Amino acid sequence: MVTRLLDVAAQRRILSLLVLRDIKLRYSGTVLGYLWTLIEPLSLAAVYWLVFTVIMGARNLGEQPYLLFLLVGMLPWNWFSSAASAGCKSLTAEAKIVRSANVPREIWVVRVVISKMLEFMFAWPIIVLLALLYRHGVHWQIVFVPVAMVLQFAICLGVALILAPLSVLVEDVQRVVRIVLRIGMYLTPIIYGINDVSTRGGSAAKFAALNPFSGIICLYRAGFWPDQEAPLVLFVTSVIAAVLLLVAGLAVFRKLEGPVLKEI
Amino acid sequence: MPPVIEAHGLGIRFSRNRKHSPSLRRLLFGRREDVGRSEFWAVKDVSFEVGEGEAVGLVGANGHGKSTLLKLIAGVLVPDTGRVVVRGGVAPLIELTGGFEGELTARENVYLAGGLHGLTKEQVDERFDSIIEFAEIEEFVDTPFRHFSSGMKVRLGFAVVTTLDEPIVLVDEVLAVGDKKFRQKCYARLDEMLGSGRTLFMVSHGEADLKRFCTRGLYIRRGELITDGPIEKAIDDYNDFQGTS
Repeated sequence: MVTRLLDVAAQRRILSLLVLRDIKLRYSGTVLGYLWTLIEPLSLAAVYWLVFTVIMGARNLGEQPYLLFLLVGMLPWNWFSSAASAGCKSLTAEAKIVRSANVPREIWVVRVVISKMLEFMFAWPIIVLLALLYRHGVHWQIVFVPVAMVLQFAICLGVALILAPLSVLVEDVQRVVRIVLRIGMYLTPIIYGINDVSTRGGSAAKFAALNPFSGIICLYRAGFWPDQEAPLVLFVTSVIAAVLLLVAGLAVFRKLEGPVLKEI
Repeated sequence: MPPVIEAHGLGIRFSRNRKHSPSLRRLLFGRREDVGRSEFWAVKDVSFEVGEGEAVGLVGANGHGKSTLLKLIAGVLVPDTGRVVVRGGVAPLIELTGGFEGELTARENVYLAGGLHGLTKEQVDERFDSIIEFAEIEEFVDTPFRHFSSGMKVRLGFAVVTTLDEPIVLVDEVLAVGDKKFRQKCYARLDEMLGSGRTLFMVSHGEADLKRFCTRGLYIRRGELITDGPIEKAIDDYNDFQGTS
């Protein structure tokens, strides 16, 4: 199993070629190009900000400034959700290439996860910009960001490795994924903070602890709001989930590779 | 010297219709050898060895597993039984336009496809002009690939793959493409490649092509290997069977 990952790593020249192509295609077709990477999350965050703090008046939701708080949670979630949904299509969208190139097939999934990670990183200037605008300070916990990214990469890859072959064999998978992602976003501390659930205690807090993404979002946020630093249990949950998902992903992909190649 | 291509009990099956495709549970937890009801063997228990420098032609009727066998050797399908060992790189003249992306220009596509086939950027740099010249698309180097005619697409695909240095060449019917003039060029290019001692494995319906390039023939019927001998023998067996049925 590990050797398959090493095989993919050995093909990093091809991988970087494919990722570069993705980035090129993503930014070449539109007039505004790169700006869309900033505009899209910003506009969505503005909607949430409007709905929750202005219309519904939830003044003590999450942390201040709320717009910044939202974006630090939303950008990682976007990476995950776009990696999951693009992961579903990673083999079918490129069926012709997958069918004709003899490279470790995991490469098509790894490539999607990396492309989405780069888009996530390209969006960080918004956060920097907002932090400067609000004159919001940064704490030492900002060093958790790379840790969060490593964990998230493993989770994204594991999930995408499971979804890619499954959605070739069962077309319903894509629809299920879309719904689960939509629900998942609200079950993860994104528009609210981890303290909003844990102070209410009870089963809500337990559920938040089960969600492997909660710990990751907390890691991203801790550098801006030390209050959001995750309790150890959340962090441990995330690490265990990352390892399990990656192992399961590699195993499922390997098992379904043959049948999938017949179908596409 | 060990053979460059070795097939041991090679087999792969497909389901006859989509409705009855094997259940996920069986795919995930079943053994590879389990066979579902509505499945058939496209290639069944095929074993052979190909030595370095041999030129082998694969003969058989449509839908009897020739291309499937070629894809198994190319490593783009995974066998359900047996295994195939290929020693050395493969230049696959199969699905020639597979590695190309419609939105990118011909230039970008040559670098992408070359990279997928294992060339470094420098190697593509070196060969770029001769690829474009061979494909005869000098004026369209920076045109998006989707604007190309189907003939131009195939020419470019052929030009990229035949520029590879791989010691094993797999050919699937591609000699039937393009106009007469380009076909002549393809023949010349293949001759050139074979002259340098490479191994050829070729699927074709053209007897003339087979006799021209191949010395050894494999005749496949319903996925099973019937004849393994001189190319003339394989073609005769195939024709005899076609005549009787």
